[in-house]
Amino acid sequence: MKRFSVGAILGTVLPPLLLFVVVLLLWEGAVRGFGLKPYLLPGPGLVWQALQRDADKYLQAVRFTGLAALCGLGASLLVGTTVALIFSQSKWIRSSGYPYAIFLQTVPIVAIAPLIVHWFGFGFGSIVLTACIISLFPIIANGTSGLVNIDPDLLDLFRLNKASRWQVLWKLRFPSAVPALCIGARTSAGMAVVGAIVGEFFTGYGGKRFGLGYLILFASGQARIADLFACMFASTLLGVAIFTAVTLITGVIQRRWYQ
Amino acid sequence: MAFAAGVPTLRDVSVSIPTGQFVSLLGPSGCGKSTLLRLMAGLLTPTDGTITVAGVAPEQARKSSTRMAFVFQDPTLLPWRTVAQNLRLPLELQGVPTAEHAALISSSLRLIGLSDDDARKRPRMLSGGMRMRVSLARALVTSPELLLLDEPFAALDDVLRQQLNEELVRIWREKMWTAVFVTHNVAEAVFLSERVLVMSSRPGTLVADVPIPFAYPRTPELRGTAEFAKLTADLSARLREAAT
Repeated sequence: MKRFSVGAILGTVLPPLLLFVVVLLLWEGAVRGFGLKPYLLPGPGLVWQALQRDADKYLQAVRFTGLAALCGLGASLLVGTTVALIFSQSKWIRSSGYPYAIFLQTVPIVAIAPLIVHWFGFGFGSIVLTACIISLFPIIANGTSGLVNIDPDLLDLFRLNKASRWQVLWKLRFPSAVPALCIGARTSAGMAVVGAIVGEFFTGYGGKRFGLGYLILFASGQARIADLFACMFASTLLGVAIFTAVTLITGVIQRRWYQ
Repeated sequence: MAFAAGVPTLRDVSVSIPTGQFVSLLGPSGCGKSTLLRLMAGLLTPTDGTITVAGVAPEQARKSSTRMAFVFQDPTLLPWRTVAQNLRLPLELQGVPTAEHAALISSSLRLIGLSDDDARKRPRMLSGGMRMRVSLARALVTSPELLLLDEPFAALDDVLRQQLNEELVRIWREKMWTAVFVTHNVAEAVFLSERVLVMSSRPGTLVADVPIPFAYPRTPELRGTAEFAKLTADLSARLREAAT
């Protein structure tokens, strides 16, 4: 197993950070050099000011959206794994159900979100549901392929030892599918954040509880471009944070699985 | 016996293997020897003809009367389980009482020459030869009466293959199960078996039934004798005929 060393971490973190600083400098330089108006493109300095001025607001929104995304991801892991387990039980079930799973992948989330809000109200639940629906497909797809693509010799081994269907599922198919489910979870992690923000577009402002989606809508309505940039940075950071956390957790699971 | 419409995989295979015998199925690649082994295990059903194990259909025998184990060409270990947990698998699946697991596992480990330290490792940490040993130990843990081996050592280098052949013979002498060993390696078949069945390809059929006269226990020195060389050369010639 490769151990984490300070050098290795610096090696992966430092180059993109340096590039980020260079881009910021070029950006600020361009805004000043070409005399761009802040309502067209605010420089990073103005964005930073916006972030600092409303730091509390952004922190609260990140927490709210992050929680919704995590709940949505958790729900889609639960639902997606269950669906995949059902799909793995027969080719017939799979071929009748899979097209509808693809439907989840292809239907634009902005088309479903208003329906969800219409049925489930302007609350946290609707946001979680939107995040869940958008992040469901990778779990179903990866989970199903992991549960179904089993070495035929291993299936024979279980058959020779008189294994029941249940034993094949829990002692062979499910453990074999864990790495694929981890990959699905990583793909879904970023999507869940997008889903939560889209959900918030439609649920809007609910009392003191609001998320990044609401802030984006609000800033856009007032043409506050620096605020929009601030929202974008906050959303991106949230997405990266959740993706990183899920990657670390699934990495640990996968390592425990094999070593 | 035939598989898909019109294309028989095996034809006119008629053979009887007495209890306790070590038999090798020797044939060129694609001659249907693995198919024959899978038919014996009841993993495949013949389209024509009959196969019986201890008087009943293989599937039946496996479920009720005969303890049967199969060793695959690949070690087919579960990567998320340690060696000991892999050996426990057949016991769990067959519903052997948990209290008996530890004793059965450790005796099987000892039989195949694996230490307690190895037993705690995951398959990924083992060499190819060690993995094959674990696979053998897993087959032996249920004390089989019929052991079916499908080219288990084909992927190993020569030295390792010879070592494992010697151990396999030693264990067989100790436990006296009936063994059917599929291989395309002539020296391996001669070293191990009491009897070698030579198969030809397309359709697979038996072309020779050769008794191997060497006494047991068989030691590495056997491979250096003139008789061994002659018999091996003989069988190689038959195999070449069968392949054309």
